[in-house]
Amino acid sequence: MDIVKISQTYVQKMINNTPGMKVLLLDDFTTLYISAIATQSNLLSKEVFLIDKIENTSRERMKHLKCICFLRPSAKSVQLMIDELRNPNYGSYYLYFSNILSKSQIERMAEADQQETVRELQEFYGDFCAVNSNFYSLNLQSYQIYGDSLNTWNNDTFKRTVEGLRAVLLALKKRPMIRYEKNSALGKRLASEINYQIQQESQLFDFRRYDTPPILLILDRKNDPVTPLLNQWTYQAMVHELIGINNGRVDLSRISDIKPDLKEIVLSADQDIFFKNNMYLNFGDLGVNIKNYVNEFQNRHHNSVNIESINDMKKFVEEYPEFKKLSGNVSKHVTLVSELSRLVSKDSLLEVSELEQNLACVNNSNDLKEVQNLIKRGNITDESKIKLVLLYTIRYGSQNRNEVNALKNLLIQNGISEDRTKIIDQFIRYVELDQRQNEETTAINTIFDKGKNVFKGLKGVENVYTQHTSKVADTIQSLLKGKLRDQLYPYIEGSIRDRPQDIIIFMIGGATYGEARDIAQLNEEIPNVRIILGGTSIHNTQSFLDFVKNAASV
Amino acid sequence: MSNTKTRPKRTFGIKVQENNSKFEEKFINTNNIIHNEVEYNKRNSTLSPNDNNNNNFISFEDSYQNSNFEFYECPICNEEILGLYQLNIHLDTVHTENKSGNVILSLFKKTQKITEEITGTTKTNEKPTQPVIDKSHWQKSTNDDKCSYPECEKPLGIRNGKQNCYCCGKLFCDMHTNFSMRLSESAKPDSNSPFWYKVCQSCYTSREGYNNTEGQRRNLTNAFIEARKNNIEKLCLEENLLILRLEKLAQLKAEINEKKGISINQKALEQSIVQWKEDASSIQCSICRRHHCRLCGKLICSNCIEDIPLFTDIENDKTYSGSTKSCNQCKRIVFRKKVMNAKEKIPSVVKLYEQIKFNQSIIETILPQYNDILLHINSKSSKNYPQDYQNATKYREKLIKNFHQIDLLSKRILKLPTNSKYYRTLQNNIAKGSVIYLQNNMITLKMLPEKNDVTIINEDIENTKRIKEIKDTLDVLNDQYTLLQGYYQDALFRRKFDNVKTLEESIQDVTDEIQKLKTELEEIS
Ligand SMILES: [Zn+2]
Ligand SMILES: [Zn+2]
Ligand SMILES: [Zn+2]
Ligand SMILES: [Zn+2]
Ligand SMILES: [Zn+2]
Repeated sequence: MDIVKISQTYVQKMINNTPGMKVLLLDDFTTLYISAIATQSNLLSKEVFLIDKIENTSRERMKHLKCICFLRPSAKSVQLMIDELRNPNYGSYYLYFSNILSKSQIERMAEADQQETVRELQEFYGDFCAVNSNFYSLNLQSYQIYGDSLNTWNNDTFKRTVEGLRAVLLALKKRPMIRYEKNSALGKRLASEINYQIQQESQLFDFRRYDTPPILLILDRKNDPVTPLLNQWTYQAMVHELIGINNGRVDLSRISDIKPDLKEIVLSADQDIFFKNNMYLNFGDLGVNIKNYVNEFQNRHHNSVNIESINDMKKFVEEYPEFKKLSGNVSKHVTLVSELSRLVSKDSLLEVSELEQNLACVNNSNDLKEVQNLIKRGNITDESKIKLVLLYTIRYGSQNRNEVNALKNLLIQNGISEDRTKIIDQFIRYVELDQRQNEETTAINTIFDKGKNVFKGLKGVENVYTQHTSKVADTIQSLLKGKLRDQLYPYIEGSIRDRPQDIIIFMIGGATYGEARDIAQLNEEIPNVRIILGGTSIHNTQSFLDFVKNAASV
Repeated sequence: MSNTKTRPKRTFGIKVQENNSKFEEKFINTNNIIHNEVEYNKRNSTLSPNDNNNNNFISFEDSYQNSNFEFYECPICNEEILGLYQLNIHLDTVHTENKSGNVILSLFKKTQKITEEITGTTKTNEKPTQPVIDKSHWQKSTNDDKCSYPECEKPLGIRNGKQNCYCCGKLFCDMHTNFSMRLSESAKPDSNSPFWYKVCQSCYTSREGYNNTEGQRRNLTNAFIEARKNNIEKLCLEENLLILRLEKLAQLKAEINEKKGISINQKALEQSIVQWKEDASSIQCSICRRHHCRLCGKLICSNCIEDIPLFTDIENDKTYSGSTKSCNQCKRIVFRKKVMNAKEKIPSVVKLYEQIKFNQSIIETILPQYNDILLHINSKSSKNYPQDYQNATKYREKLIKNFHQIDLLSKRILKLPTNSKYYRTLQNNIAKGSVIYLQNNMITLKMLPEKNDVTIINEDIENTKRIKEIKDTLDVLNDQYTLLQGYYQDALFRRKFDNVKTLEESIQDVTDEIQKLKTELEEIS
């Protein structure tokens, strides 16, 4: 169930079977899919010498090239394909669509192909971004999820989500039993539509029998709004939180005097061994590993220079241009980790994180005081301050609304605009704080689990900055122990008593790299189960708060 | 930042203490990455040297990977613990004084129950109807067994457990048999079987389809071609009709051309070929002028209508007799075959690339043979060393020749003049691809040991091949020379002296190459 490998296999199949000079035509969506998993050298070695967008209408006629198209079957892309076939620029066409085509779409393309240039038409269900081997995203960050209330889907987003998740299941070759969270109307609707789709496309979903059926677990972000608010301390998650990862790329151009080749770097576990080995490690281990990495690099030079500071490292790396290739990767990670480190100091993130973790994990009598203290402090960002108030609100807000309002005023007194503090009320609305207060406290309605010892055995140790574990990790462990109650996590159809062996999670409202890391760790430690996580998008705090703001606007 | 709250006294992640203390000191004042990490670690390691817990913890972590990965509830304190081994340690350290026969017994029962519950091994299936599964292939247990999982080799016994895999029958440790599968009576994987059995990790993960990386696909090519065929059959009728009309219009045009000066009612004649459709609803407006398509007769807006050439015989370009107006759609249909069958001039880059492919195909047949011999020679398993060496040398020279050829061709492609940014990118990328190809395939060339008595290659065969190669290359080069001259004259004419200079260089390169090849050709023949 390695979703990156599956996506790569789709691409290989597209380009391997057609020898000769090729152009690869993509649309806006598939460009993102492909760029996350394919390398230029791989494409070149398979004679893909041009890559272009189907949206680009000024392409030239190059009849001697074969054309591989990988497109979403969106109305727009299909129309562009039809236009292309009417006046073909290339000698022959091999069409691959990332999702199910309608009959009329096929007929319209066939009608347009009067020059008989199409050699192949296939559906390859790679309609998602394969981020890590067990983490995918539908890339819907710019979509409004909600319709006219927080209990309804936006129609377009719903259609798009169903198609995306259906493609994930087809790519994984899984016909799952579907479970959802009882308090999520969106989850229920998605679960029943996916179930309907599986029955509609029963031919496509006709896979070999499993010992026990896979589980598709549909979760709703609103039931764990805490995880995306916390500072992250593992490499990949930290980079996304503090700098931002956009489709595997990190923009470092804001660092002053950055070298041109480091302005945009690629973080790919597939192509970068150092990243692969360290992406899930915490900041402490990472620092030591990067020191070893530089040492190893240094030893290869039989050089006796002693590296004792980050400046030594930088100097060293720059002094050996003949080892550019290796040093390229070394200096990439040194630069990135230095920048993370700088941000951690500058914005007092260790202090912020400690308080965040306390707020997220235990009731403490002096929480209010500590939040107030940090709001008054200088070297802490406005974002951090707002985050702390939000975490305080989740923990204490249902009883102590007055204190929340006081904190809001304190934020304003400390220079944060009234407009920005509106997020507090928007957040209360999004997480349905008032409903949760009134209802009988059931496991699903408490955002904070009381007994956090579940994870103790797994992690073995407690860390001040990583005390909190994501709800999705807890939920999966309950599921594996057979303790996930049917009443709270109902099946859309049927039910099963066997312990699942394959689990696919889908998070409505977006997942996080921190959660991906938790899932990766579970996979590592429980080898008789495979778990894969995904969602409508990938959040850091910033994007999550934008999402909440957007949600509260319906 | 810290307060009086007590923290668990445990380390996190790396062990910074002792040998790393120097490292810690040095980095703390540099306010850099290391400082923060140390800070980060320090907060997590309020570790005192006489803390027993810590020692336990380290052994905890060390054993972690080798232990079971299921959760067990401690039968005494109910804390959830990962793995049986950790549970043992937990009992040893936390409940030492309570350890009595009774506790152990209850632990056993409880653990057994939980294990079954979690792995689903016996569960609900422990009915009298459970069939006898084939155990004839089971590995016999001795006093000195090791786990059969690759690279595990743990001694089997009370500590690590000992268990036959119900599928392959070999003996494994607990960790490597913590998997369950449905098996048939003959102990083969069978998803239809109602019975679950404990199996080893190898059997579990090597199940058919388990490591599958091929996602679902649907091939619609046949459906598409069928739909296209139906459509083109219909289209052909229309196509023939339109061609007929076009040729009639061309004929008409030709007649008009002959009868210069004599007034003819052209409109009426054209309408006799196709009825012009009147569009009553449309009132001619001053902005968009509309015209009748002379092929289908429909009234079409000026954006969608254009002039098309007329031929009295559509397949013969020489029968051109003028032009007329046609809508886009009719134009596409009437010239469909003409466009499809049009022979286009092959660009130089395509010709050169074909040569690269030719060289590559030679390399791909020789290289495996060369590598084979090389392996024999280097492993000293060669039976006829002189013969093998001679062959290897021969292959090696052939390979080098082809590699060199690819290098030259790709450089030439890189230098091909073009005004199109698409062709520029194409050429650059072909050159890049060739570099990658050379890098990937030239590695073993250096591995042939040196030898003094260089053997003579069968030159005759070599030479004839080489002559053909040179002649082909010369053709391409001459084409290119003419092309370059054209660009050169053009640049001179337009006084683009930058271009003139680069073009002069390119021409010189090509001339040199031509000269070199001609010399070689003379030498060989
Ligand atoms: Zn086995
Ligand atoms: Zn073992
Ligand atoms: Zn008009
Ligand atoms: Zn027409
Ligand atoms: Zn028009």
